[in-house]
Amino acid sequence: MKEPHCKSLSRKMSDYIDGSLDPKTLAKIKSHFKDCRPCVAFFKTLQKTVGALGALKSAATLPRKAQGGLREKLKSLSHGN
Amino acid sequence: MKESELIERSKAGDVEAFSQLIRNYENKIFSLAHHVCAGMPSDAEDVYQETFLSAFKNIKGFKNRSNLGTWLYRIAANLCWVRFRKKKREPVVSILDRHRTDENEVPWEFKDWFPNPEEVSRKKELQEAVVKALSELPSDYRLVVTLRDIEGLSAEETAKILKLSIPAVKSRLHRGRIYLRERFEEEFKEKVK
Repeated sequence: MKEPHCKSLSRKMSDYIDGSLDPKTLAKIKSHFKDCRPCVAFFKTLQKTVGALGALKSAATLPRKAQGGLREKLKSLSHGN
Repeated sequence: MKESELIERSKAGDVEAFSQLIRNYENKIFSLAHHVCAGMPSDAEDVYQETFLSAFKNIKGFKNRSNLGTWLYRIAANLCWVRFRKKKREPVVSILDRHRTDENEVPWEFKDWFPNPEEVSRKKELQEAVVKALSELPSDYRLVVTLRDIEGLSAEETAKILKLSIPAVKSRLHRGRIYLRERFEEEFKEKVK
């Protein structure tokens, strides 16, 4: 495959990962993957990038101190302070 | 008590009702603030608190037909954005333009060097590398990437929250992912053997 074709398809790879590609483009990419290993590697690493970000979902724990502080501030607002 | 009832009571100034109302949302809002204010924990706590204080003050203007989660995310995203602009943390020349996101500069040789998502969630060191790379993205892109890829919202929800078109969300998301992929490549090629 020619490089420009790879580059134009690379712009569609986020849509591929997100499952929002139209069937025609999807078929074109799948067919291209059969004989373009760099594109397959690019796709896999982009997909893993998205996976690595998803792995952060449960990484943030709301500190109790901040939660308690918010409740205190809300109470003082309701008392018109 | 139903959410609609809690909203009505909150509109009447009932703090207890509002406290119950936000229980389903506060972890999500803190998570957004935590990832957008990557590496600045006190900013994340401030954004979390300011979001709900602002929501309580303005809940009378909330339209019952709207989605409360979207409304809260919008307040939080705006607070994050204002905070970054105020502190002038954004680079004058976009990091995205310095890196090889221009299609003419992309080297077309790729190898699958990447750790699996399971490894990232298991290994603290890898997780820290992801957070660090995320913190280097300009905030406009970081907001989109966080809402879509970390919080798992749809393109439509993200567009509503950030008041962007869906093509603009998709474009920022793709550019953000490409930038992070390159940063991870630099980081993980050494660490993952």
